[in-house]
Amino acid sequence: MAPGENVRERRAEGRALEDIEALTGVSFASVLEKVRGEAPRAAWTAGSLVEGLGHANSDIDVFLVVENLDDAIAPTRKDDDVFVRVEFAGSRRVDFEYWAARRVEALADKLAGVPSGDAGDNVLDYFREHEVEFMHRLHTGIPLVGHEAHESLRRAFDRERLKQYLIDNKRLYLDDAFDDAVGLLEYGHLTTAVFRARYAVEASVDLLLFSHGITNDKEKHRVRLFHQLLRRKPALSPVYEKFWKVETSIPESDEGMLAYVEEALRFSEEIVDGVQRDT
Amino acid sequence: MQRASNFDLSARPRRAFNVRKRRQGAETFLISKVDIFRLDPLGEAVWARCDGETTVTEMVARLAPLFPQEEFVTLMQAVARSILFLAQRNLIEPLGPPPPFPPALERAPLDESLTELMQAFHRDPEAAWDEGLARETAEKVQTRFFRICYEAYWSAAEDKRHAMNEQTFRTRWRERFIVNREAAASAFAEKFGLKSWRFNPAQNKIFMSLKGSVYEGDVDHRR
Repeated sequence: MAPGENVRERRAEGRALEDIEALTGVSFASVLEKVRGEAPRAAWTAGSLVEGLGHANSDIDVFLVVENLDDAIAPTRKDDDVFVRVEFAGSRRVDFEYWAARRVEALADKLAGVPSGDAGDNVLDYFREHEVEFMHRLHTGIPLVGHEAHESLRRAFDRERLKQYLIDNKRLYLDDAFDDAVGLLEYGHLTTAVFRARYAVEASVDLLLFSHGITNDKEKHRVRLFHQLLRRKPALSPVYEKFWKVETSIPESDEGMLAYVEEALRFSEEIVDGVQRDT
Repeated sequence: MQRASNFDLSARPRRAFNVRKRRQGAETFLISKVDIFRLDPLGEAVWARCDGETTVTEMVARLAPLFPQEEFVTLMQAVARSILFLAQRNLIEPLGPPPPFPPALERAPLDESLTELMQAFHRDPEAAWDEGLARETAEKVQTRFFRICYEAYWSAAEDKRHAMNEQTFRTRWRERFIVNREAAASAFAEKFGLKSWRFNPAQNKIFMSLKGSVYEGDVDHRR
């Protein structure tokens, strides 16, 4: 097992609906009862429980595409053409996230037209965080209502384009951290350089995950997503072991920290070089 | 300076850690701080093999099958020129030995925390060491004080590649002092054997009692 992994994680990957129901004690039939009157075009469950990243107390996330958003939905939160309603099934929190159909269509058009970082366009944060999450969860979710409509939506959102956007965007953050670490080191800010160099490694690992088709960009899941990748690509074990060491072992001495920054930046370059060769 | 004609073929060039390589479309670039260099196919192949272990001779031998149109000697000269280019722009680690001392800072602004650290060792603890001094003079005294300690640090450093530059040295001691004044002063005393110091304005000299002997230096001096 990789450092930091445990047996439960291995069992958790890629759950089906029945598995989630067994884990949470909540039936999706009862969940769908809460949206019965709303006639969504499509509804699916997605998130950490579906991706095998959650645990027994994780929330259930349900996405719905509806004709229009209106206050009859009784949202708990309104956000940029997205409504979120929080409910409870027993003691289990269920988040319903509503998207209007026209909003989804606009997002699909936006993805289709996303600039290419490779062509020199600056794609920095072209998509907002919840837009990326929607697109990712559309592809990784399990349909509950409107299976055909759900499949049609998936086809409208090219996952390869999403993957490439994530790579191009993260590369901008990585390059910023890399150059930052170099500059900070030159001007004597060693302790800050250490943390920027560490971030450069983290961003490089994100790049690696994206390049292998993983479109979950949540930092908190990085390690477990890497574990999942290792099961498909065990040859990446040395990369993981080095990543773990960088994350957990910052030296205390000045000379140790200097060596750490150098090693971290070299490691980052090594990962990026591999990704650039493979993509 | 090395030339392609008298190049050391046993050198093992190593990529500098602070340079990144990026592809954009069909082109490849090296980015070093604010400078960008475009790599041609040979340059990219040379860069990939600057791993600190491959000699230049081995590099040429491994590249020959990739550039079959080139005569071996021509290829060797091209590789040597590439490496020299990389070395002159600090894109690879220096091919020669490190300098005896890193260059001294041209100017280091007066720092309040370092001022207080110096005060902990002033020969007359009741008198502020910078009392009555013009700011510029105090700045020079401080710069000289820490440069003397830095040179002692550098001389003692076993791993010069991972030794701090002067700016980092100053910043780290400043940080330590901010975090814990007593511990920092104690560590400074132990590290450099510093007992006390004073500045004589009339002579423009600093006197430091270090490891049992007294160092005397002109504050305007830069090594």
